[in-house]
Amino acid sequence: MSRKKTWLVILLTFELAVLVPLSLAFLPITPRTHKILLEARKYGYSPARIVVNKGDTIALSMASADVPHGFFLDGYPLELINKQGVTFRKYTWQDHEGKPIVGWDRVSSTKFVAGRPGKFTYRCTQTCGNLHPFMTGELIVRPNTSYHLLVSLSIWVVFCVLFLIRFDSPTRFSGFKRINILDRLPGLKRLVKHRNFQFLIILPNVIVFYLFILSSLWGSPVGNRNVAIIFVWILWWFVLKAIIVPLGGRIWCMVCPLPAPAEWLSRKRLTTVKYFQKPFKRLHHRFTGLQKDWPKKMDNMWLQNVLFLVLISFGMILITRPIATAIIFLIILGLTLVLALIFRQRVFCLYLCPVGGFLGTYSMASMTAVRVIDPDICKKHREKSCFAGGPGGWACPWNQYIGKMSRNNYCGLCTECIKSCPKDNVGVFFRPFGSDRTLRGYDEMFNVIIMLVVAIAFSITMLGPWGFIKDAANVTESGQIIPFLIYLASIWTLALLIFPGLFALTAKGANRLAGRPADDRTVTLKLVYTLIPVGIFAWIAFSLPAVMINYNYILSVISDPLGLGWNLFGTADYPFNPLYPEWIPLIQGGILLAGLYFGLSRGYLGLKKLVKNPSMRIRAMILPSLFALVVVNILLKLYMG
Amino acid sequence: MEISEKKSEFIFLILLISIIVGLPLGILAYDRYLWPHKTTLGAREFTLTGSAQSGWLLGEVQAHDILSFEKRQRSFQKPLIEVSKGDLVVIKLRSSDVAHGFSLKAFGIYLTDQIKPGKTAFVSFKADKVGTFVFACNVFCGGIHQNMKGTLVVKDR
Repeated sequence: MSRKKTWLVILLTFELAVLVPLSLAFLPITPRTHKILLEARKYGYSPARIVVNKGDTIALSMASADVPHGFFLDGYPLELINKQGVTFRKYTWQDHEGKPIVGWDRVSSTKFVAGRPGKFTYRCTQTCGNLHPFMTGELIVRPNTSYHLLVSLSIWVVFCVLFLIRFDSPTRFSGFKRINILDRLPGLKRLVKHRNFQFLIILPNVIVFYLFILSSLWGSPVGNRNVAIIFVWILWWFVLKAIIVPLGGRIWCMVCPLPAPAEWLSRKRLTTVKYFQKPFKRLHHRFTGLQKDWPKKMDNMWLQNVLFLVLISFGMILITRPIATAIIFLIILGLTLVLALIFRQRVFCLYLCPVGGFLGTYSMASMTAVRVIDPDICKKHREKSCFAGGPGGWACPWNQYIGKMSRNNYCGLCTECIKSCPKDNVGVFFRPFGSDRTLRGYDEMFNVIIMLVVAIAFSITMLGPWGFIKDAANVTESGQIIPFLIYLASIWTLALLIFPGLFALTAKGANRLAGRPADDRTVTLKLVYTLIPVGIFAWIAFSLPAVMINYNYILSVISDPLGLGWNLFGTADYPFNPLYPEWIPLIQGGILLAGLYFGLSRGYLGLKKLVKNPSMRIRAMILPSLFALVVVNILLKLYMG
Repeated sequence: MEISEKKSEFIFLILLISIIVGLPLGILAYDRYLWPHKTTLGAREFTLTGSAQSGWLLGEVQAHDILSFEKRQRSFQKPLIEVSKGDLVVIKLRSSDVAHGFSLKAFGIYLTDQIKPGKTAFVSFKADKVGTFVFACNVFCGGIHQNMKGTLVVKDR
């Protein structure tokens, strides 16, 4: 099929995918009036979802069952506060100089016309307790055209990728080039080769994380006034998911301050190298402590997977209580120090760090990679200074031999090999998104699936309107132990049993449809790669609203990090003023579609070498595509429907 | 100029130690001496923190106190502030969870702005009459709001 015809098919189907949902919007509706008594209680509204048709009038009266609550409706100029049984509505007007003035009117019921279709979240505006930032409800104004459009487009994306696969030739999609950044930027190369480089980029993070620990112990107990909560769980989490992971992969590990004290202690050096001519157990260094090697049996990600699930089981508590953040950081610090006395190198980061686990699998897709420039040079070089250590740099702290390293998973980008290589054969490469496409084993596959399930679970718990789920997750305050156990059981079974099981069946079916090009394990591990880009983009879509809604807290804790009432830079009282909140669902939908496209196309590229017959490739991709489509549609329903 | 390895290690170590010691000291110093206080010389200063579970607590509630909150709740006591007649009293008001308020009717004090979490409010008055007075919260803050009270005792000199 010619290029022109291919594009014509894609364009025509695109028009179809757009026109069908748009035409639904023109079905006739007769407007009516809804009388709604909205009862607010910690931490949800009743009704949690209000569904009306476009043009309907909503007569809203508000009540609170406990403390004062607010009502801020995205996309509508409507803001209410209910306290002591009285509802106030915000109004603004301009004085004679044109300055806006805000006032509050006592109202019994507020009428407004739902003129704008789509999904709009209403949020509490009064700090009403620990879970206040998650107290939301949803107004759905039908016809929800943007949701229908995104569902239709998600089907179109799957169709297009399958269509392109059908007419793929062996030479296509293979011309991606990698660029050695160090070659392009000699200044950066000199910087990276400098012994003080890593210490100096960790140092600012040491200060910042030290402040987080101090603040989470002695600062305000109120989460949204404490720098530890706002900077770690809103800003850092978003930047990690949306920028650091897709672009830099594990580059966070390069600057992470938590294991740094342990590394300094075990090396007895901050910046310089201590090199011994005579190697001890392969490495040319002597470390503090017992210098054991990590047991071979545990050289996998299972511990990390379990620890991540343990951590997210208490996710809701962790991200709302400053003290929980302190406990986590101090446990990590303590563990790294203890482990550094027993083992050599970064065993905590490799085998225990819950964040390190998904950073590893997600970095397979990232656009930065440290690799050798010419593998032949490494073959001839006998000393292997990158692995065993040399006068210029420490032995790889991540226990990797870069001469044969072909994946990002366990490379912490610490830049030691760049310094230790006497042949100057290590580069930092910029490469296309989704380049390492082979998973090593089921431990990595489970990590990918756990991440996906947790993204869905958190979207329900934290972004959803259901107060009873929040109560279950918020067990230390609500005291609801049985619902909490049900909540835990559902996350753990979904992450360890149901989703992996369904995916295994999907992959088995795909293998059979493709005429068994390899054993089930190989095919499963290839196909699960589709879920890595899907997962990365799902996490971006999940973390985005936290920043768009709560960015004011970022500004206010900059001026008052510990919540002591300071005002260092004049931003301490920056008001709650969400940034284009009415567009959040549509942006999230777009991000999910991008994840679907990258997932399917990159997953296919991984499969391409395995399945030789072109017509078998498309048959192999059908079931995994449907799996990814279902996952994306679950999230679309949660964010937009 | 080339700095020797030993020297640079030493410089960085000093840098690290000064950060570890300096940051908490800096925070303390800023909060105590540099951040403008609404206090007057010779005033009797008290800090009251509002809690939706425990009512008024004397002193600051810091993030780590949440761990020992249970204990505090069991020994639930209404706080008592004792001053002498003629003292200038300054009360620093804080919140450990939701918005609270403050009123001390006997001295005509009725805080119109809420005590918002993470913010600090001050009230000051001259204790010019002797007796036992009650202060309370004037923003509805939850179940124990009605009971969120404390006692001010002004003694004769």
